[in-house]
Amino acid sequence: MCPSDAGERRRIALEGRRRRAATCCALLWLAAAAGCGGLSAPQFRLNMEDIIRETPDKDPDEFRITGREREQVRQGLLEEMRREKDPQKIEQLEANFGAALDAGTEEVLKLKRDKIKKLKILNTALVALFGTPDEPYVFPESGLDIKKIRLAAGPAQTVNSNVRRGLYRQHCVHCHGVSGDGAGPTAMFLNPYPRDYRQGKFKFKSTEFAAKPTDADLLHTLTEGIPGTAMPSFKLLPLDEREALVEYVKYLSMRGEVELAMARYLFVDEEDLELSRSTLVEFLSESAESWSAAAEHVVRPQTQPAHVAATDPAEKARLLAESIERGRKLFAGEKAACVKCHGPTGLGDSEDKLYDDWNKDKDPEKFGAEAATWVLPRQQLRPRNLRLGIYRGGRRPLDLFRRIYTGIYGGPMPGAGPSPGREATLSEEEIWSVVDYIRSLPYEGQVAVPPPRQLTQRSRQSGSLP
Amino acid sequence: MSSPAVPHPHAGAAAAAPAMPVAKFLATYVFSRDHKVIGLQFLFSTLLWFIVGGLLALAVRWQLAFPWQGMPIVGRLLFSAEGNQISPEFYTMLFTMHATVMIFFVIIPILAGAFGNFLIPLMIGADDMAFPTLNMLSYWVMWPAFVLMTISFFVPGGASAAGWTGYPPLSVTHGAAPASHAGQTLWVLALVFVGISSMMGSVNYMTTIIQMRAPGMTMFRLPMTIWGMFITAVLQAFALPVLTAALFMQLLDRTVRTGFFIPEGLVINNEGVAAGGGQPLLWQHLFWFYSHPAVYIMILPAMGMVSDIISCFARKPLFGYKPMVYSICGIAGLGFIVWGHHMFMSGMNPALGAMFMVSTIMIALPSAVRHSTGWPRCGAARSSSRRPCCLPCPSYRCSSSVGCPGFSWRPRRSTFSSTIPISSWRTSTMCCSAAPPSACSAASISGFPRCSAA
Amino acid sequence: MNKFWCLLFLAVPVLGVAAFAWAPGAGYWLPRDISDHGWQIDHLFYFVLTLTGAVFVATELALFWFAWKYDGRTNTQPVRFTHGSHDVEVLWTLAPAATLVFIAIYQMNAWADVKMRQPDVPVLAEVTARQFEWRIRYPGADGRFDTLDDVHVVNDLHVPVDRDILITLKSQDVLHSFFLPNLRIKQDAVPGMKIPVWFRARDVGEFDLVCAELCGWGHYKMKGRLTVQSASAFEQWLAETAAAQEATQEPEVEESE
Repeated sequence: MCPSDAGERRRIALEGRRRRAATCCALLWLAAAAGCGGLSAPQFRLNMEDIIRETPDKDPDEFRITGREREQVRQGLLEEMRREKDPQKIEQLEANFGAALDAGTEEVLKLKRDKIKKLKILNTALVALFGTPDEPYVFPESGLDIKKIRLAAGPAQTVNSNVRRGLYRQHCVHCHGVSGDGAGPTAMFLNPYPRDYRQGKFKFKSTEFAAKPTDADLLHTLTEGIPGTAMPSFKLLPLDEREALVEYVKYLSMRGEVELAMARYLFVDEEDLELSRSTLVEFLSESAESWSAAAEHVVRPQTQPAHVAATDPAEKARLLAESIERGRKLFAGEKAACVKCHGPTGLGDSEDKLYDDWNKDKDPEKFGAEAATWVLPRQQLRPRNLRLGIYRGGRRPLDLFRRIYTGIYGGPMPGAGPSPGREATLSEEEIWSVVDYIRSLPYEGQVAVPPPRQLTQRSRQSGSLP
Repeated sequence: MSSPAVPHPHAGAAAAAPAMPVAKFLATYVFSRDHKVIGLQFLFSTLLWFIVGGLLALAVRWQLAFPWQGMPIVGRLLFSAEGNQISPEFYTMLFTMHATVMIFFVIIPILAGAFGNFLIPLMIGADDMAFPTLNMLSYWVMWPAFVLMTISFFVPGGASAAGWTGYPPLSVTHGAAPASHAGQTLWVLALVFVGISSMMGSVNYMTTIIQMRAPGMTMFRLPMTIWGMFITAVLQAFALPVLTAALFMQLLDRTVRTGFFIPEGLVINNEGVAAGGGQPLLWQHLFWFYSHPAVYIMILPAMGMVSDIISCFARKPLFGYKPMVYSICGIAGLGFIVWGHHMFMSGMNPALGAMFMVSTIMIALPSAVRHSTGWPRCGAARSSSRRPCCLPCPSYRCSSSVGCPGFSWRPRRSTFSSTIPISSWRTSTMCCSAAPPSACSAASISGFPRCSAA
Repeated sequence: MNKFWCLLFLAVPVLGVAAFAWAPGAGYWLPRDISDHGWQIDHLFYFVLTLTGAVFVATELALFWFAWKYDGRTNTQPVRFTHGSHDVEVLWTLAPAATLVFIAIYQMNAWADVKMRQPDVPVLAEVTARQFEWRIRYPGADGRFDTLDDVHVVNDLHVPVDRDILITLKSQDVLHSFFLPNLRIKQDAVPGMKIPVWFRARDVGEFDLVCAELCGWGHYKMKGRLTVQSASAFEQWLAETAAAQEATQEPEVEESE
């Protein structure tokens, strides 16, 4: 068609313009709809699958077999046929292939629906016990302070608003994850990984081996950070905010332990979970009681190192030197066997196939191709290099004593003190000697502690610049 | 350049003309050696990257406006599990890539590549550039850079997040930043290609301007635009090899664990770093040796264009043409001895800092001469035209006057930075004064044929 | 050009000056200075601001005036061509040159005070920057670093008031920058180098210590606290911290924050 007059041309031009404008509007609207459809509330990630998070309202019986699952059944049947040697049996299988496939998919679908039912029950139980990340809730039996938890939970508030909330989301979530699973977006770039609270295991605490940390322990970790790791010091946060975060960590840990226990009950023991208050409290109590009993299990040394009590500086120095010598022998000796992992010179270069409890079971060979999809691949644990002067659990002699006495819960370091069913490997005096030796390691080669002088009379040569 | 036979909608012929063969289409519009086509290719590619850079800036601004809240589109796509709240390393990637894209993929290619290619032969009366094939290659060498930079957004760890200045050891040690995995390596490679493209272009411009002027077009009759382009080309030719060398050193540090920039005894992410014996300050010196002339590369073409536009619409020749030319040459020359003013707090010898302060003071002089004096005097013409397309020039002068006090501020600026490195702050000042008018100048291109003929 | 656009361009110097006039009252200005030499830096800032501000306003007003007066619609006088003026060129080259030379010489003292004139005092603390915290080490009772009685703290720098303080700055991993806004001190912490930083605080109180060089994802929160105390309070704090660090028993009272 050849437009022959100006009016016709203008009409075509306008039409084109209108069409272009409409397309632009449509694209903009699409973009807006895609992006600005409101904030989605985060959900706790279940230990096992995200299927509940993705389809919360779908009835389990509505789930259908997917193409991939059907294909898997089919491949299974074909594999069986391939392995079969008897030609008659192969013919039989071929003839019944369709029926076998149907039966197989029915079976798979039933198992799938069964699993989803159980997951829904698990989710309902957990929401009843603990609420959601934005709306937390606790039973009184948990022993947690809901006010503190509310301060830490929920979406973070901007600095301008008067409502204080969302401390966890602001400070912790990008490493420790919404569920406290140590798999936030930043986690995969860190060495060591952030702590996964859900097992209820914490490494650096003042309590006995399998006990929970006290509130003071968690507060100390938050305040001082953990040297040598990516856990920073939150000293500059006000005390009430730090205490709220401590409470929230306990909340997440308790939730994780209950989830693990319930999941085991449902899927491994294949029991039915009754959604009654008493059943829920039963699951909750085990974890809650261990948390409230933590303070009773604090390790308190009964003795002190000999040189601490001495007042005469020369005597002090002599006792310290003797203690260090004893510690050196113990460190290298058979009884404590520290050198087995920490190396003959304390550089941590002896053992190289160690893993902590969170990485122990992540054997790539066992999981095959699935291992490549892990967000957090298996991470090796290296024994501490004791010559750096960096102590993750704290640098006080008391902290080192506790580390040696109880070992590290969640790690391969054994305790030298007494534990249920085992005698102590080292006595308290021996442990103090090892502590003194370790504390001297970064400064080995220097003279023993010289007599103290007044700070204001520092000599000109001391603390000199390069 | 004659158009090929494209069927006109109002041709009136009963049968449509035959479609152009593919080979001819490619030769005319894609792999063309015509400087105008290449200029347009640069223009459209860089405008696309301008959008990308702009979106990245929007994301940065959103995070600053609503910290710790969810981010609409990006947050929903990537961080839905955390309530759409972006992670800190994502934010570092956003501002790094915004700056990288804007500087290396937008401002420099648009001024030197798009405007330079288009205008230089036209304004000096030449048929085409001295090396048309080299010209075409200088555009196509940008494409590996585009592709690599795009890929870097999608590799594990994401795109570069070590700042557009890429300071080591953050940029060269694996584990120091989330993107010091593949993203940073791709960043380095992309910039190497950008450097190659610019070096090709600068050789071309210099040769064309020196050798291919029409008879009677002496050097001191050249339009200021051409002077700007010429000096830009000189700066690129001398400064880029240094950046490229530094980029190669960083690439080696990242891939084969050499120790150009990595000192002994680093502990990153709880692990000792294997390489050693290097000096992080070396990168800073090499990088800023290029990046200071780079800021002049970003502004001189625009300054030249503004000179021409103002004199055109004021209907009188530029006031003090020769001093303006000498100023530009002075800026270029002195621009090579001032790079340390980006490093006052870096830990280099303070005496060196004092020396760079003196040279920086010296370079403020030609800039001040040109800015505050040449143009207003020119503007004091009778009968300024009221054409809207000359608006960008006063706006440019306004915005660069705002940024220009920076020329005098250099000695003491470093004390007042917040948490952004001072180089970024200064870069943003420079860029804000150069970018808007540069983009706006695209609109004024219609006025050029009339002006240059006048 | 059109009057509307002329007025719009006039808005630039007007709004610019207005913003600078409003900012100090609204709190968007220099942080409180508690240091001994900070006044030099602030003084230079005001000097350069005034000078460049005056030039800025003058240039912008000239721009506005020329655009207004010579609007092509209302002004029909023909253009007069001039060959330029050598004298004017010389004048407005020499005037800025003289100003710039003055600035260069005037500020040398400030630079030397901050970066070159190191006081002859022993090092008070060694600050090691690390992703993403400030690890601070005092030499302890023996006055020497790298001994068993060094006092280690994180993010908590205490200094006595009215005394020349000398700090050694180190970095464990990447570039950081030791920035004390209230003392007008900034120095990059370069891994592989030990850089001295010195200052003298005049007032007691708690102030910010922030990182000013991109060091990774945690750069935004790499903040510490500078506590300036009287000499006796400082000695007491140091002694208490040293003692707490040597604890072999659980302390009787909860550690105070």
